[in-house]
Amino acid sequence: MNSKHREVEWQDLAPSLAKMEKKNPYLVPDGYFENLQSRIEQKVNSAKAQRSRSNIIPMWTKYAAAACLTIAMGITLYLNLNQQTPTVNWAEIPEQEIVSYLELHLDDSDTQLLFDQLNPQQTNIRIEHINNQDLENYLNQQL
Amino acid sequence: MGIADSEILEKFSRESTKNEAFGLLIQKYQEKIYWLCRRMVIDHDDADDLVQEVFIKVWKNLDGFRADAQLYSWMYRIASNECLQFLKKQKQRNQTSLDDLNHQLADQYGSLDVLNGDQIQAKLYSAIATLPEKQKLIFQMKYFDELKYEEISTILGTSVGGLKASFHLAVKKIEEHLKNND
Repeated sequence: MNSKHREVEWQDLAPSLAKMEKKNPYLVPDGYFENLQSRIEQKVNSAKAQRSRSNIIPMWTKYAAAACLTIAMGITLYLNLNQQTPTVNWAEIPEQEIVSYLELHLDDSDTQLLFDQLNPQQTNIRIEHINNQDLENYLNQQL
Repeated sequence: MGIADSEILEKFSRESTKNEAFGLLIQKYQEKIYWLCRRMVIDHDDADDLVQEVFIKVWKNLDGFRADAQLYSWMYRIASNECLQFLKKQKQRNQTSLDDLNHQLADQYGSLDVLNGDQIQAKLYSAIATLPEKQKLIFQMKYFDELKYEEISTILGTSVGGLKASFHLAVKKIEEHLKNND
């Protein structure tokens, strides 16, 4: 009944289409469907193997990551608890040592930075108190 | 009459008969799934890849399949989604719209002997190729697989009314194409 009913439905709606014979015109390689099952099963088996491998790897990587994190947190905590910030009494450091340190480690950009940070109100450096020879020596050395 | 779906599912649920059940499932549905894919993507190699992908997905998800749904509807849904995704990727790869792709396929039918030299069928398939993807799926399920609207509705998640409208539109387009190319 169904196919007859469908035919009528087709004829009304699309007579050219209804007249056409319903057949499969595509070609398939010989023996394709006979081999398809085993090919699918092979593919499923390799997918299963891949799945079980990927199930193992995340397990140990998760544990390893957790262990690393715990160790890192432990070390940080330990260092923070035991580390005492050294307090420096600048007044006790001899002036010559400071000068030597600055001579050794200061470069042009630091000099500029020091000048920028210098508050003329709080210093007793006056450019007019520097003699020309010292100024010339400084410029010769630094520029 | 082959083995019942319920029997396959029952066997699949037991570890000792799982592989046997899957083998039975492939035997029962491989051709239907292949032809659904083949009519959508046309090329045999593409259809072959797709049918394998579909069964891998079925294997992975069959444990979670709810027995109150139809097994073949569920498999058809997986296959339909795979085909639509494949066509979408193909479109992106070729930097072309699906409409253009469909017309290229339609031209292919007109100029090449891809359909075993059958000119009348070539016209029909050329007409089908011009349909939008979802309309093409609906037409194939209704015309070739002779599924009911209710079944297609379950597979594609579209209302029966919407399906009827799509199918009628598809049939009209095909009819026009056949008339114009007489």
